[in-house]
Amino acid sequence: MNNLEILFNLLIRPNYALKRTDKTLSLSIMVVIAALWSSTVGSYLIKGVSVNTSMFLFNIIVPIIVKLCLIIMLVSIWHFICESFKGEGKATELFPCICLSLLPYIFLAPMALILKFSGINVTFLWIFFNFLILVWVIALQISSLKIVYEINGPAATLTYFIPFAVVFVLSILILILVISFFFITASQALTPFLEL
Amino acid sequence: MNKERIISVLILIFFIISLIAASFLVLRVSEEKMARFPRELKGFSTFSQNIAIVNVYGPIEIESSNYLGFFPSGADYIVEELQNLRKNPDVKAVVLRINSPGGSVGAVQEIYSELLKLKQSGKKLVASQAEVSASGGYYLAAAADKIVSEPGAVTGSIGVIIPITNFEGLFGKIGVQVDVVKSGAHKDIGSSSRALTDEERKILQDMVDSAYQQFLDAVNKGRSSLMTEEKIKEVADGRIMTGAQAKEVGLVDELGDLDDAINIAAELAGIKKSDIRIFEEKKDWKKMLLQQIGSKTSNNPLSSFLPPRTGLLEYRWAPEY
Repeated sequence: MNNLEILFNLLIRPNYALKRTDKTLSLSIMVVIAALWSSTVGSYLIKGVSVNTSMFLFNIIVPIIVKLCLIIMLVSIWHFICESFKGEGKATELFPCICLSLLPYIFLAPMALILKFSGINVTFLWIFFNFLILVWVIALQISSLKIVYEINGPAATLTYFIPFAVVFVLSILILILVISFFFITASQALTPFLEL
Repeated sequence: MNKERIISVLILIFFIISLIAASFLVLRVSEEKMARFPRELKGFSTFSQNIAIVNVYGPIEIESSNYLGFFPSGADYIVEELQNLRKNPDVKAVVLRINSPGGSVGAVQEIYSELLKLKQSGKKLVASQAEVSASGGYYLAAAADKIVSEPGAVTGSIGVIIPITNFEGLFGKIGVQVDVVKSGAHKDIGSSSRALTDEERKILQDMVDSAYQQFLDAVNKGRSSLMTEEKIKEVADGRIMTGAQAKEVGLVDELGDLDDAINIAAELAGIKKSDIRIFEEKKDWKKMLLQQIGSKTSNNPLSSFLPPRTGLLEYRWAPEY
């Protein structure tokens, strides 16, 4: 299966595309670049942000690097969790699948163009469309876990959300700690201001 | 497969064209905006900022007691800010936003000196009094070309204080005895373990009178166009007053809020209302975070229950004594 077929099948028959073992690393990285570029440009267009060339490139290149590092980190975590669920697979096979699953984001730039010139309620539609794309991407990523590690759907879903759940709980705990700390140490002056 | 190939090529072409078009539009929009404002710098636009707001909030000390000690956040910080503004050729006027009950004499005078230098450099200075601008806060306001106050702000309190707490009775009750070995009779002047002697009281009173005279001189210098020396002395007995009362006696020029102060500053500096651009110091998030942590950790949780600090010469409205 060539690259174009993989990309096409990823949109139409994702399970079929993800099962192909002839996925290439370069194609995966190109998809990440295209997806983030499209997403950034779409957001700028909708918000009406104006930037110069260097800032524009900076705001594309940095997220790409960050995203790739994040994917590597998440793939490692998912690999570890899948192994705990008795899944058998390789992180090196999961990585390209996760990268390719970002493909739906390429629709953000064309959508932004259409919304910008349509004159209809842009903000609501843009948010709704972003949400749909996000759900699509999550579904593709969960499918990737299922296919690569040969685990069932619920296990794949649990594996996918565990890292985010942990981060969420940690964030809440840190927030509670920080707020408590501020309340304990903050002191109000008791001088009688003139008050209305 | 041929059909799929054609569709996938079409999708790819559509995507590439959209991406290029959208990118072009984003950059093009940027160039159009820049063409309209030739003075804008490249990138996220910054206008030539001509009026700065400097905040003086809380008790005025040389630096706030900051466990981390990385960044000054008291008078030192304000002085540094004023020095930078003095050297900035774009800034034509400074609005000093004051919400302070005053502070130590040294710290207040540090800022006051810098304010005078700012005025000497040709920039206009307007003081905007918020909730409280008393004692040391008013000392700083007196340096301004104009003082704008909220009508209900607490101001005045022109005077000096040295708070000394005498724990002799308490120590006696709990069996604590303080012994002092000193090189001179007055080395432990203001000690909390005993009452002041008459001689010590005289020494401290002379200090207070000296600092008070400095305060009166500063107010005379700033308000001489509206108030006589006698009138100033009449209201400079430490009394507090509202902004409205202060305007009646001449300690304040106008009643209004921060916006009014900015408009007055613009008028003094010859800036049209439509050309007002507020100068904003570039925010360093690391500095702000450390200052926030420092300011929170510097407050002893028991400070509300412990007696206030003693022995410092202060221009401070201190109703807790």
